[in-house]
Amino acid sequence: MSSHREAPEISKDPTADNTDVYAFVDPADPTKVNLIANFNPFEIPYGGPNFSEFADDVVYTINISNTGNGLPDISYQFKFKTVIRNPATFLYNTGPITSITSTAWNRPQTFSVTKVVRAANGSLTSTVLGSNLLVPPCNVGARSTPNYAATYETAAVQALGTGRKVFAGQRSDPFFVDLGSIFDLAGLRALNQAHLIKLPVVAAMNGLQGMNVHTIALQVPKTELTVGGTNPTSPTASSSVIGVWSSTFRSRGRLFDSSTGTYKAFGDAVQVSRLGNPLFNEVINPMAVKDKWNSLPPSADSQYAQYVNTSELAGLLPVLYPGAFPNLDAFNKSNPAKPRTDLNAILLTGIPASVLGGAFTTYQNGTPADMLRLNMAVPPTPFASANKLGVLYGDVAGFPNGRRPLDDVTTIELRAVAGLTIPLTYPTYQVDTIVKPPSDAVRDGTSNTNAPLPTKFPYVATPASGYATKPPVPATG
Amino acid sequence: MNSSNRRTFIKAAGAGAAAVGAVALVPSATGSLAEGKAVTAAVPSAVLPAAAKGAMVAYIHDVSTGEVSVMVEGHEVTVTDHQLVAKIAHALHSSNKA
Repeated sequence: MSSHREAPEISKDPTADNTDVYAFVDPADPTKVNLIANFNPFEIPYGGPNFSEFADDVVYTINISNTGNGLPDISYQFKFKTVIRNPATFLYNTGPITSITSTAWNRPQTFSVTKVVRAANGSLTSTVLGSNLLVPPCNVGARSTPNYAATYETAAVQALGTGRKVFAGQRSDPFFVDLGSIFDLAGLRALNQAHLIKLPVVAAMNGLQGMNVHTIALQVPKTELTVGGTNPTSPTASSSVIGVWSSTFRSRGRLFDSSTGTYKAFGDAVQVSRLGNPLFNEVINPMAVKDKWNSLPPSADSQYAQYVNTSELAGLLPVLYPGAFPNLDAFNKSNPAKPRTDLNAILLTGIPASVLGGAFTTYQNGTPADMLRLNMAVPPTPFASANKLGVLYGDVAGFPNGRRPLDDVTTIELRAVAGLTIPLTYPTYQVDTIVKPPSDAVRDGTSNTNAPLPTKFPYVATPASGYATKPPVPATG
Repeated sequence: MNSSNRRTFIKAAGAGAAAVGAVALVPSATGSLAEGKAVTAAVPSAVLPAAAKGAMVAYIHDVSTGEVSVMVEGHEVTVTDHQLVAKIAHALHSSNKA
């Protein structure tokens, strides 16, 4: 779930594949916002000798729409450059890599960050914020990358002018989900006996356990992201809300050059992957439209609203769990049909303050656009007291008001799709017992079983080590 | 935003040497291309432009339109030249491999 291998075409192009996007007000410095995008799903830590890396022929972007129109008013664009120091060896490193600048690393990467701002008249201003920035090596193991965290992590967090910092490199995947069960006909292991095809009830398993990703994390002042550089102070003002998404671009043409054995890029950069809210392209869009969706900006999402208003997963739940969702089943069969305006607000337009009891809003201007919307005027919740179920359970600094790495977005979205949020827009709807407290039985059931999340930037944990990580144990059942 | 406008956005970043505050301009020679319109091909000449070197790809999405997208790394133009398309198509279909 989220966006690992979520569409047929991008699943064949992992280095350009967005896996997750996070946006949250910094708990340590509430004047700043953290924007984090992960790529390259399912990195096996011991995947040598050619360990995972960013692609030189991909432009990675983190985009902001502060006007709410689903177009990038601000785009941070990241380009990487890889060199081979010693062409005469197959080794990733020719000895212990004792620092981020060690020449023992045979395939170092550097990157640049460019900020592009679109003015109201459509003109673009491009500013290079940093270049020759350093990427740390992959966590190969104790011999090659000794004392990984201490050796590289401070050096890898780099300043980008005044008030900004950036990190780009390998991290543990902070996302957690029972992939093995959820994609086996929407199975939730705790509800195995309620499923149409019954299996023994067992504990959930985090399918991302032991897996790494490549992270780009950027911390910027809030005032850099608002229209006119104003400081967002009103939780009920749309001007405090930003829409965030990540996208990747490749040259339109790619030909294999037999003279070098490598691919060469030709033509303009075109978008090949996109991610705002977790889930959207994964289980909202049908398979046949996913690739096209990945090539479009959020402003084009009105054509996909039909898949939100009539959620396929919401229709499947009463079928796959007979008798468990009677009220959802009846809602689905309403005549005339009732669109899922609750999901529409959460995923496409942002949620008006009136629906949230007047406390805050994530609504911008009503343009249907899949963006992770963050109201920057809502104070952050200290991570120690945060509720990983976010806004629906009283923690208004969590998903779907932005997203923190700790948020259990799978459970939140499962419950929303299963009807928990229908009363937001259909107040007389009675949520099925299995979905609401005290049952709360609809749950993914996993938690982060990778390295614990750090409480400081870049907020994504040290990558799993190639040497120390145990391979999964195969089973054929 | 249409796809060509998004390309412009990325192009603006590609012109990243622009100083802080400078407007990221798209060269006028490619402006019409950024709008996704094909331009008429220049008069053919056996003499290559001075800047032309190395690899170049010509992509014909639909031979009936006569449009040829000519691409180098990071840049492309689309020209309309029915004769060129016909010449290329004949080359393919008259070869032994066609």
